Amino acid sequence: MLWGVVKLSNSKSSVISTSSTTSRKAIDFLVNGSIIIGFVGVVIFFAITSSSFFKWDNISDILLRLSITTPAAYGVMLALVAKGIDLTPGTTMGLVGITVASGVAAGMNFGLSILLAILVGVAVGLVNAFLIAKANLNPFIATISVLFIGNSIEKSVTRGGLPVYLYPAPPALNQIYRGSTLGIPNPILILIILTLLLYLFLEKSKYGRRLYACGESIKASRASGIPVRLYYGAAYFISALCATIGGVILCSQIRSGQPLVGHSYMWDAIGAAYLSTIMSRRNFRPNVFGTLFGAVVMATVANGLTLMGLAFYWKEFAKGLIILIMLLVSVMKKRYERSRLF
Amino acid sequence: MENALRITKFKSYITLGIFSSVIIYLIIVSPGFLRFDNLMNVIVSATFVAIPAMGLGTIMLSGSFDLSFVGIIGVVSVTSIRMVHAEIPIPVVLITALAIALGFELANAFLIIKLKIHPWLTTISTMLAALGLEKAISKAYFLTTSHSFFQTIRFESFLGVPLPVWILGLSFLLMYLLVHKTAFGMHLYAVGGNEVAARKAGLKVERLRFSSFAAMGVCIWIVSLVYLSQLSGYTPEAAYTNLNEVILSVFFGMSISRKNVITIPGAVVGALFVALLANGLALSGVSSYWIKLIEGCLVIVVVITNAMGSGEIVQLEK
Repeated sequence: MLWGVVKLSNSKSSVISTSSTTSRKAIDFLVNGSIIIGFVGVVIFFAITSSSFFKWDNISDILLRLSITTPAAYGVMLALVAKGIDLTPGTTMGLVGITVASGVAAGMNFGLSILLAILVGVAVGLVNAFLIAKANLNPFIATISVLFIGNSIEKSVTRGGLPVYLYPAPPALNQIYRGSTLGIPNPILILIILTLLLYLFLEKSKYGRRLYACGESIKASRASGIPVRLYYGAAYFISALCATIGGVILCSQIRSGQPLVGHSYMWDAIGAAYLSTIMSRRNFRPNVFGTLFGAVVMATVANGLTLMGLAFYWKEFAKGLIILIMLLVSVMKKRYERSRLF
Repeated sequence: MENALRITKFKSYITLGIFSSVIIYLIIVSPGFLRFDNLMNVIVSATFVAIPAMGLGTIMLSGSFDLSFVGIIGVVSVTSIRMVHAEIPIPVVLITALAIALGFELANAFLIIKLKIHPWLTTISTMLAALGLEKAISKAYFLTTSHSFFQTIRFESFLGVPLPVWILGLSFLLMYLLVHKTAFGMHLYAVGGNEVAARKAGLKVERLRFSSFAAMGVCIWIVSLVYLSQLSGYTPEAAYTNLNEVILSVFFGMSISRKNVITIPGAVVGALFVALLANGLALSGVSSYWIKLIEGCLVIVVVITNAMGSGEIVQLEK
């Protein structure tokens, strides 16, 4: 029964692939090829303009930054699977960081403050899930309102934006970002585990298949007995949990809880998740490894621009343009495929 | 049909009930609330929200959306200040500012209407780019100007009423006539209601939607003058902090209208309500972050009451 839905939902793409397999493959090859060539070109450009780009310190810096951006990007990816969007990962990261830091600063046990932070993430996830899956709000309106609410909570609890510093930070918190297990730095290990878990969930379990089916067609999924609202809610809920992981790692990196700190990560996350849909060879399907690659691209670009000595506002400008170009490519690709189909 | 109408009426009563009870509470709690100069202050602070809300309302009733105006207001304002600093005459500054505002909005319109990218996604990325550009021009500093033109708007009054209030009144009158009393406005509603039917009826859909973005461009131009005069300059991201209020005003206007549509008077009434609320809360000693928090929650309440009766999850892209 369930496989029927998945077959049904994939039937559109299979029609395309049977009618014009070669041209579809060609356009995928063209788009993905030019993205990869563009990325390599950017890397070469950075390597030429700044001598420290290819130093091991800088590369490990990019990798460690990835461990913060990528969980948030996975969250946005899950929202994209549900044909929506999640603008709250940055806010969740900020709230989680402040919770951990204030908990520890108030003399609370470290484990307890992590637990509190997870509860905060759960709360954001439940609110998003309720608004979108139960109250039928436009995901944009719902998550942008939660974003504003979260930002003002962050500012109110920190008396207008004063960071909560943790010097010295408790050793357990330090270990999350700076420690390593079996020779692998802890944040990278967390990232690998999260990636594998999400991959197994989305690609190998029936729940992931059902989530993709819900995104493709609400009616068909409901007709085959999938509790659609539950799956939509779950997408936003898991998204908030992913952002919580990113928030804890970020808090461990900066050893403080800073309000509005997650803002810049939100844009990286959105860009990374969109890149995965463009590069997908199956009908604009957001996927785990595509998102990981997208996060690598966004982190590398951000790092290179910083090394070039550009101020933060030029980075904002560049990120806006990058996301816009991605949207353009996706629209062009869609239009090309439709013109082939009909 | 009758049921739907009853739900709509019920909704407008809920929203009005919430807001009027809040206002009555504020009148009781803070005694200075109803004084003339305080009310004038409220209207002046509502101008920041009301003028973009009218533009956003026009875009939304033609079936699109815009978030990027907060960045464009910034770009227009800081460019104007830089030009004033370079001692370029005011008329040239004003014309350039209008051209920049229109240029940005028409670029948005091109991406959304011609290239058919999702309006939310387009404008959230152009918003980011414009916010970056704004700070790149101002180097993220608070740029100030004490040019007599802006000082006049700020401090002078005509017939006992401050000039910003006149600006709000005049632009309201213009937008009201444009949207509710001309064929153009009716056509916009038609395009927003059913694009296919509007096209079949011979309306020039693309041109109409382009002009709704142009109307927003003009609104951005006007409100940037108000920002420049009231702040005697422009703080980085000043308009961005008001984004939530603008969205709230438009949806509030939608939920108090009988037919559950976006109207220009509704958007202005919404902006006035938001300003009254913020002012009243501030007078009773609530910190500005909590005010933002309450406004954020109100957006959700208002949008939920608007979505009452529609029974399906919203998907962004089909």
